[in-house]
Amino acid sequence: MDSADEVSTDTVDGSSSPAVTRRRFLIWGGSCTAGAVVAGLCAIAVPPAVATMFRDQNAGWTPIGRIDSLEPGQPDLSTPGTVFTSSYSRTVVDAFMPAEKQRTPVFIVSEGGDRFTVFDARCTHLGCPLAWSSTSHEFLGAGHGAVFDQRGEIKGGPPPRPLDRYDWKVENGVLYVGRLRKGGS
Amino acid sequence: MSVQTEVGGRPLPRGLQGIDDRLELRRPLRKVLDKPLPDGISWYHCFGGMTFLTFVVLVVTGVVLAFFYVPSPDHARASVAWIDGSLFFGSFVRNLHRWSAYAMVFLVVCHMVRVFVHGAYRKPRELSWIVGVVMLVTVLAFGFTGYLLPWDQKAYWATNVGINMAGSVPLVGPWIADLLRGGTELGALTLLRFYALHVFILPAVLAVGLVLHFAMVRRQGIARAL
Repeated sequence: MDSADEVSTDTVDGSSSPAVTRRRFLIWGGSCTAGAVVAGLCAIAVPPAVATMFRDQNAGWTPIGRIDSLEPGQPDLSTPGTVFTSSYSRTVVDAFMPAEKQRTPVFIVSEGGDRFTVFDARCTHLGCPLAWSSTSHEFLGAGHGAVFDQRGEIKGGPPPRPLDRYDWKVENGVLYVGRLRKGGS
Repeated sequence: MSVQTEVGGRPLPRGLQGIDDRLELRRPLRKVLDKPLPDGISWYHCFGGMTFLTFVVLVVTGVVLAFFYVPSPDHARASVAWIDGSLFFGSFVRNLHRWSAYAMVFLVVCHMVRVFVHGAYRKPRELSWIVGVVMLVTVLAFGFTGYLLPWDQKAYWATNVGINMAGSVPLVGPWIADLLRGGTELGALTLLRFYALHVFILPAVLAVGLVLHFAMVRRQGIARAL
């Protein structure tokens, strides 16, 4: 196969500019076709792989409970400064899985009257669960020593931002939570 | 036009030149990719390359489907329905996978017929033919295993029939059938092993076959047309 080693020159004698030979044309044509195939395949493969990132997570308003008696045997939320560890349940459809009740823990802080602050019960550092310490009046992180005060502000540890909080509303004595907002915004 | 044996007419861009200084790829790449073809090459010689194109499409779309498909009896049907109905581009990708599979079987047969009619299987290219036959069976096995994965009625009963056909082989048939099913009943283990065959074992077999097939055609060149 000696002929395989024979490669035609790219320049026509007496000229310094490269000539468009049949060989060169086919190399470019073939390369462009291959590139188009690869680009087309990427255009097909990437959208479904990334599309699920853009689903709207807003699930509307979800009831937590009545503000005068969130749960039997627990103090009501009418006293300002009361911090209540609670949760809400909503039906979550995770892709193709059957719809399932999912419970999400929250902290409810009574601000007096019908005013509340509803915190996400996960640390803003790396998502570890937080616990309310009724003795030191702080939210304490389980993993890395995070400390938040009653207003959700950082008192210590590695968290990058104050606690995340939910939109909330009270209707007919029932407290609802809505969209989750990043803390500090 | 003059012919020179020195490889490479033009200087490379600096970044590529740096790579070539270290790996010295330009000369061997030229030798492999810049191969003259014999006279009489026609569009019929494209069937093999077209089959390979369908393989590339099937790999890409198959990987996308693997992001979302669950090979389990309680989720397989639901995950396929979700891909079809809810996933952005999902129906398109799945149908592209399906039609490329049909096209691959069709084109691989065309390729084989072309090689047969041209007598291109003859010495010294018998090994290419043998590897090709192995890959033909592999492609059909892809089709058979992939057909079960949607786990709907058609998939279930078609596989049931296919396995029973294997089971009718004299002497070893019942063992082959039980091996394919992973037991005496078509069920969760059947689905799982068809999935494993479809996405792990058969692609590996086909990849090895393709490397051998391409290496041999590069080494020996395309057979002269009749």
